Amino acid sequence: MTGVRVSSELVRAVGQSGFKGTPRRLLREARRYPLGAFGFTVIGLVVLMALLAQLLAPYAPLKVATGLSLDGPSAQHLLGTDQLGRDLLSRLIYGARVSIYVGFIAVGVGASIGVPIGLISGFYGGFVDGILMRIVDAIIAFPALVLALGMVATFGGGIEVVMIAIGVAIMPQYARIVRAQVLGVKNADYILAARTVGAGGARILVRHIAPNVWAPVLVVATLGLANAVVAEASLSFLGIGVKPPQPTWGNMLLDGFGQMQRRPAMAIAPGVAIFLLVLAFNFVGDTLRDALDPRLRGSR
Amino acid sequence: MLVYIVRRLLQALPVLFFVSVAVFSMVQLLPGDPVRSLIPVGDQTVDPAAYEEAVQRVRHQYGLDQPPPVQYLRWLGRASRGDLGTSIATRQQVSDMIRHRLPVTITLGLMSALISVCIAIPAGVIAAVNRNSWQDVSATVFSLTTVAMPGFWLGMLLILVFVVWLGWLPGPGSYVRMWDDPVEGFKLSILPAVALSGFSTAALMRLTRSSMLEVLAQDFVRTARAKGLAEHTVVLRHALRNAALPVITFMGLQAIFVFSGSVIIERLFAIPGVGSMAIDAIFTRDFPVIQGFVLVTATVVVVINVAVDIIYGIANPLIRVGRS
Repeated sequence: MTGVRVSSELVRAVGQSGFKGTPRRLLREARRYPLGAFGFTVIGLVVLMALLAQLLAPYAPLKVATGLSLDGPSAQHLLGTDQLGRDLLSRLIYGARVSIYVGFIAVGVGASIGVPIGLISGFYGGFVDGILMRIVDAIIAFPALVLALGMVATFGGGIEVVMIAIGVAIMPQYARIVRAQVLGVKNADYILAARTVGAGGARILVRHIAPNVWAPVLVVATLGLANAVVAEASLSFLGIGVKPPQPTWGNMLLDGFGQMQRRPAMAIAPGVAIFLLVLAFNFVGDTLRDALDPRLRGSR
Repeated sequence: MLVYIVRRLLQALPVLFFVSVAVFSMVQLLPGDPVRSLIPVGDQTVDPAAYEEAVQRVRHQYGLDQPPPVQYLRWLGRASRGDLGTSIATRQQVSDMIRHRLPVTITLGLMSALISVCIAIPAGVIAAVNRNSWQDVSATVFSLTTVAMPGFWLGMLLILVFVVWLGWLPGPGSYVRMWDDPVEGFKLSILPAVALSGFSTAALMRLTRSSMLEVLAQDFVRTARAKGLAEHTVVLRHALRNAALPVITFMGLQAIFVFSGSVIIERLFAIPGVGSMAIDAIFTRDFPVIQGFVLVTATVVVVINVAVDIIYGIANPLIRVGRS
């Protein structure tokens, strides 16, 4: 009996807190931003694919089906097999792991270097600003792939170097947008008020200015995920990124490039996966920008 | 104006300083001792004392016994005179290798820039003028999808369609320079140029469209129309000229795309430019070549950025005064 009462109370409580309206509100938002909804769904699916790869993939990504190399699509191998007889679909599913993992870590690295630099640069200004911004300019001077190439040459390849290199390459975007945002609010009245009641520089920076920068950072981060996914795929395709036999969409495209005559699916399927994921991140990024910051609308 | 130019040039100096320090540090950060890897390990077991002496001699010979700041200044001095060291793999001067291969990369970059501009600007203008028409929708769909397509995958699809399936164009390999055999060279360059231009075409189209929309909504455009000028005069002579400003900035970014993109597109299409040189150097651990490539790329990007800013500064007051 008590169980029933508890659950009905729960339902009422949830109803009162507006929880009931959530699906409907989501649906309304989705109708308002159809591209964003599409992008969000695709990202969700790819993340699920990455998390549940072991359950979803019909085969282990490195399992070789002897005598079935470069086999066309069949009931056993829905997308066929690659030159070593490995199941293409399984490798595609496992490849999502690398893209998602590298994407998020690289963006995390970029944001955690770029955001503090932007905050300090914008807030303190003057000489500090001048030095930090020239360093940022210097990093911008290295095109992302060139920077990654130099770092791979120095520290050796591998997934960690790739993630850090991409993170450093996209860092300037965070530093610049955060700096601009700080400059915008630095002289607002409420900052002056905080100063008047005796708040110190560090406190103002962390408690009063930092909360203002998250919206553009979120937008840059989402679009940065798209860049990171492409950068990882490019490096792996060049053979200087994530090392084979680890399946990544970039590695798979490199294999597919060699087999284009006989198995074009190998050259197409991983590319479609990258394309859809990048498209999804771009759509969500654009939607977030439109939703969070009306001033930026249509600026890209 | 002169003050602006000088200030912009001075601003570039610290940037170049940080760039050069970063490139110089690459060697310092290399794991292991470069000198010891130059001397055959066998010597160490035969006569340890002589080996140590040889290590010291080589170290002194290359100036590696000096403190890093001194090494940096010497390195910078040589680099600024165009001496980027010698390739370990080919024994050639790195600067000669780059000089020899740069025209190939630049040709590819110019071709792709030409394709971008010829497609993106007209398409962006048409899309803006006929807002929400089918032309506008298809231009938007094109740019949204192309932006999301990695250039090297676009290149692979182009090879698949035009080389493997249709057989219209020769496959990658046996590259012929455009100025040696224009017809064959063009056939070999058109696909990589298109692949390289995909992203910038899409981005430039979007940019042209949005800045045209902004300009078309301004008063002077309405005035021009009210004067009874023909619509194409209004759009081309009045609006487009003013919408060109962000486009100039974009062309500076294009240079960065070209260097970043050339690394992978040259590899894909077996084009002997600086990008494929750098990738080859990674596989042979040819450090001086990588260092030279990174230094030259970053310097070129800094110089282009300064040039774009100066052009922008020159163009800007004209717009403010409203000469058109």
